[in-house]
Amino acid sequence: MPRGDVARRTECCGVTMLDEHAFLTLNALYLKKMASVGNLAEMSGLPTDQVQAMVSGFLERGWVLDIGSELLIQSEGMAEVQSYYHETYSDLSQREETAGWYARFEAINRQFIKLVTDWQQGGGDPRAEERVIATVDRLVKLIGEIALLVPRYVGYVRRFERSVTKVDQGDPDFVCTPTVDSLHNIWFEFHEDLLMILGKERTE
Amino acid sequence: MTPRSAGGVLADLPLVYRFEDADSSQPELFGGKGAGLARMTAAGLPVPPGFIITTEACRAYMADGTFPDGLIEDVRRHLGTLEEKTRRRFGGGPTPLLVSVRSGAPISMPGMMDTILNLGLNQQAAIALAAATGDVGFMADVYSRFCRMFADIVLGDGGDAVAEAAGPHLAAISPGADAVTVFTGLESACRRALLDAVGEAIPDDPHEQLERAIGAVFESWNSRRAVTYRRHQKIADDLGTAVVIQAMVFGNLGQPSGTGVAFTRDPLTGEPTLYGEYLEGGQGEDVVAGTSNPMTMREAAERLPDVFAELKRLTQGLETAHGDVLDIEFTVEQGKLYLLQVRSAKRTAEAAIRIAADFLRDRKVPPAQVLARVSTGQIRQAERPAFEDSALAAARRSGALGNGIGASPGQVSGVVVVDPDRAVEVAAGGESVILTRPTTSPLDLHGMIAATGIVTALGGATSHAAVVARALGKPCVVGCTAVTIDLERRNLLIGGRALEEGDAVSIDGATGEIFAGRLPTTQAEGSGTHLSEILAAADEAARCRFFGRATTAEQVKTTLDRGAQAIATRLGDVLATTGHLEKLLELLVSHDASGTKLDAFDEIIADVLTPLFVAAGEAEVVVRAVDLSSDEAMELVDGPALLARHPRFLLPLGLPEFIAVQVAGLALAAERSGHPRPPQLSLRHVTDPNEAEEFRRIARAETLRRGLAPVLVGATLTSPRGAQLAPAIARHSDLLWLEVRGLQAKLYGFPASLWLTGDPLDEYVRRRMLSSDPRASLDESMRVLLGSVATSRISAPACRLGIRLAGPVSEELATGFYWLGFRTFAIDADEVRTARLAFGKAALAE
Repeated sequence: MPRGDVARRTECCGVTMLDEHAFLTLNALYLKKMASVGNLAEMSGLPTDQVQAMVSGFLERGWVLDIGSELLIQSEGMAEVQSYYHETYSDLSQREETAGWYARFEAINRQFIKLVTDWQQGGGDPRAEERVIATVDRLVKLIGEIALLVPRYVGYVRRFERSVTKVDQGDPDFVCTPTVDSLHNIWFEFHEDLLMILGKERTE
Repeated sequence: MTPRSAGGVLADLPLVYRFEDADSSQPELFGGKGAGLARMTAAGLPVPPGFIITTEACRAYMADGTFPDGLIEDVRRHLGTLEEKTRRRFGGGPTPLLVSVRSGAPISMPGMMDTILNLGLNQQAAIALAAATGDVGFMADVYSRFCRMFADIVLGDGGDAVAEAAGPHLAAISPGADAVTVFTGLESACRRALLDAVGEAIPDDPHEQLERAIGAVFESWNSRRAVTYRRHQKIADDLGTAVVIQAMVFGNLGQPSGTGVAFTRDPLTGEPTLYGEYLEGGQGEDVVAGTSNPMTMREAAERLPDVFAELKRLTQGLETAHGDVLDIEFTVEQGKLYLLQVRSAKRTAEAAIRIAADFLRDRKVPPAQVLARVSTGQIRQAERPAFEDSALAAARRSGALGNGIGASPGQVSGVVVVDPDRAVEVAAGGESVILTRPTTSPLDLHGMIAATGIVTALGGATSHAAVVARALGKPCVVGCTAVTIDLERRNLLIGGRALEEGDAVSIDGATGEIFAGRLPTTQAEGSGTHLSEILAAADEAARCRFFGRATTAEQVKTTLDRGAQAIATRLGDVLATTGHLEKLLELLVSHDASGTKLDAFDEIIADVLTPLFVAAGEAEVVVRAVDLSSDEAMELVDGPALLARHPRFLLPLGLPEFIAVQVAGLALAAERSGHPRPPQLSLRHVTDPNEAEEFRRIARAETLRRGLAPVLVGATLTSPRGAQLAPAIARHSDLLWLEVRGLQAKLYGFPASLWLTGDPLDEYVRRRMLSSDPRASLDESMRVLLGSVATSRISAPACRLGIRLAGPVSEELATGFYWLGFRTFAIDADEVRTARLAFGKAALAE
C-alpha cells in the first residue's frame, strides 16, 4: 500500500484530521496505550494487513513507538486522537438527548461493575455470570440508541457479542481477564471512549 | 396437539410430578433444580410446594414444536392439587395462588430462561390479593414485577418500558387507594407500554400466562447462548430442560418478611460461619441483583433471632448431608422461613482450601468427596509469598503509611511508580513496581500488567483497579484517600509523608495497609496449615513418591518443605549456575580432540553437589548426568557449532571417560556429605540395552577403581525406541525414568521447546488441530509406549520405574498415570503441591 494511503488526512469543516479507519486504529491504541497489531485489528474490525499498513504510517510520523511485539502510543498520536474526538463530537455533549442517555448508561455502569465484582468474589458464580451478560445485553441495546449519532459504536457491539460467545462457550477469562478482549475490558474502553466524545472526566 | 412422539419406555410415564413424588436421583428427568427441590421436600425442609414438568416433555416439545398430548391437562390437574394444598386459588380469590416458573436443565448452562415470579394475576386475582393482604401497594408491586419479568423473559423485551410506565402509578398509591382503580390504571399503562415496545401484551388469563411461560422455558433450551455452550462443552442437544412450578412465598408481604442468600461458610475466607445477605421487604432476585443495600447475616440474626437460628440449624444439617458448602436462597414470609434453592457454593481459592481442611478434620464427609472440591488451580492461586510475621508486626507497631480498602489479597513490596508507561520500563529492568495511581482506567492496563502491586487513591472494591488486579491475581489496595499523587513531579504524599518515584513500599492487598520500605517475605506460602492438612490426606490416599527438581541447596530445602520425598537434580544445571559449565566444555573439547584427561573434574563435581546432598538430609537424590545435546545446554554455549564439530557429544555414551568422571564426582559428594543412601546417576536418551549394560559397567569399574561406594545407575528414556525396549533396558538398570515431554516431542515430531511455553500450542489445541492436548492428557500413542515401559516391572522387578514430568501437572494427566500403575514421579519444584493434590484425587476417584 502506498505511503500516502496509510493515514491519509481529509479536510473536514476546514480542519485537517484523521480519516475514519486511521482513527479507528489509532483510537484502539489510544484506549489500550499498548497493544499488538493483532489486538488493533481485533478492536477496529479492520483487516490485519490494512492495520499493519496504517501502523507503518503512524510509526513514520512518530505517533506510535514499536517496542517489540507491541506498540505504544506517543503523545503526538494521543493529540491526533484527541483532536479527532474534539472536531467530530463537540456538538454531542450539548445535546439534550445525550445527557439523558448518559444518565441511563451511568446507572447500568454502576450495576455492571458491582456484578463483575460479585462474579469474581463468588468464584465465577453462574447466577452472577448470567447477570453480567444480561447487563452487557442492556448496554448493547443502549448503544443501539445512539448508533445513529456514533455509527462506529457498532464495533463495540461486535466485540461484546464475540466475547459473550466466548463466555457462553465456557471460557471464564472473557468476563474480566485484562489480557484478553474480555467484557470488562471492552466495557471500560467503551466508557473511556464515551467520556471522550462527551468531554467528561472519569470519577472513579 | 400431537400424540407423545418420543416413544420408548418413558412414553407411558407421567410428564408432571409433585415435588414429593419426584425421584431426586434422576436429575436427567427432573433437572438439577427439580431434583434438588425433591430432595429438600423429602428431607422435610420448609420448601413451598410445587411440581415439575419433566425433560421428557421438553424433548417431545422440541420434536413437534408443540406441547405433547395431555401435558396441559396434567399441568391443570397439578395446579388443582397445589390449590388444595395451599388453600389458594389460581386466577381468583379469596386468596389467590401465585406461582414461580423456572427452567431446570440436568446440567446448568448459560442462556436458560430466568425465573418468572408472581405468575397468576388477572384483575380478579389482583383485587383478591389486595383484599387478602389488606395492602393495595403490595398488589401493585407484585403485579408490576410480574409484568416486567414476563415482558423481558417471555415476550423478549419491554421490561424497562413496563418499569417506566408503572413507576408513576406505584408512586401515586395512597394508603386508602381503591384496588380496582389502582389495578386497572396499572394494567392499562403496562399494556400500552408493551404494545408500543414489543407489539404484544401479556395475556389476561393466568392459565395462558403459565402456558406461555412453560413454552418459553422449552424454547430457551435452544437459545443461542445455550446452544453455543452445549456445542462447545460437547453436551448432548437432546437432554432437554425440566420446568419447575412452585407456589410463591412473599418476602415483600407484611412483616417480618424478606429474602436472602446464605452460605453455610464464608465463600471468601472459608470461615465456618453462616454468611450472606438478607433484604427486608425484598422479593426473589432483589438481593442478587445488587440494586439495594441488604443486611449482613449478623444484623439479620439480631433482628429475627428465631428465624435465623432455624436457618442455621437447617443449613448445617443440609451441609453435612450434601457434603459441601452450600449456597441457599431463602425467603421469610411474615416470620415463616422457606428455602427456595440449595446448591454447592462457589468459593475463592483461599476459602476452598480452608473449607476442605475443616471438612477433613470433622470427618463427617469422606476425603474423596472433600478433595474433589479443591482444584490444582486453586492451590496455585493460594501459593503466594507473605511478609515475615515479625517484620509485619514491627511495621504495624511503627504505623502504616496509609490504609485503603484491600481489593485483591497478597503481600508484596516494590518501588513506587505513578505512571503506567514508566511502570513498564522499570519492571522491564527487573524491579518490582507498586503502581500508584489516583484511579485506573484501560489506559493504565499495560502498567498494571507490568506491576507487582497496585494502589489507587480513589475507588472502591468494585473499581476498575480492583477488578483488574483480582483478574491478574495481583495484590491491590484501592481507595487509599491518604494518598495525594503529583503526576508531574512524580512523587506522592501519603499520610503526610513524601515519597519519590523509586522509593520502596510494601502493601497488603487483604487488609489494605501500605508500609514504608521493603518488608522481607517468606517462602511459607499462604493457607499454610490448611493446605498441609489437605495434602497430607492426598498423600495418604495416593502413596506416590515425588522427586522435586532442585538446582541449589536452598531449592532442595524449599522442595522438601513443599512435600517432595526426594530430589532430582540436573548436573548440567548445577554446573551452569555455579559457573563451571564453560570450563567443562573447554575441557571436553580438548578431550575429544586430543585426549586430554578429565580426571581433575571429579573434584569440581563433588564440590558443587556436596551442598545439595547436605541440604537433602536423608532424602534420596537422583542426579541426571550432563546432557550436552539438551536445549538447556544449547542455550548456554554456542551449541549448534560446537555439536557440529564434536558430534560425539550427541551420543549418551559418546565420551565414556566423561561418564566415569561424573560417577566419581557424585560418589565423592555422597561420601563427603555423609548421605545415608546410595547416590543415583541417570543417563538421558538411552535407547538400547547395550547402552544400559555399558553404563553400569563404567559406573562399577570407576567406583571400584577409586575405592568409592557404588553408584546406582538409571536410564532416562526419551524416545519411542527406548520405551519399546524398556523391559530389556531395565534388566541392566537400577532405575528407569520415562521423560514424558521428550518422548512426546519425538512422537509428534515437534521440538521439545514447544512444550515449554503456552503459545502457540495453546492456540493450536483450541483450533482443534490436535484432537487432544498432549500436555494435559495421554493419547493412544503414549499409552502404548507407557504400557511397554510398565511391563519392565515383570522383566526386571528390581528396577524402579519413574515418570519425569515437566511443567504444570494436570489432574487429567495425574489420573492417567496413576491408573496405569505409576507411583514415582519427578516434577518441577513449583508443582510439588499441585501434584500431591492431583495424584491424591486420582487415587480417591472411582
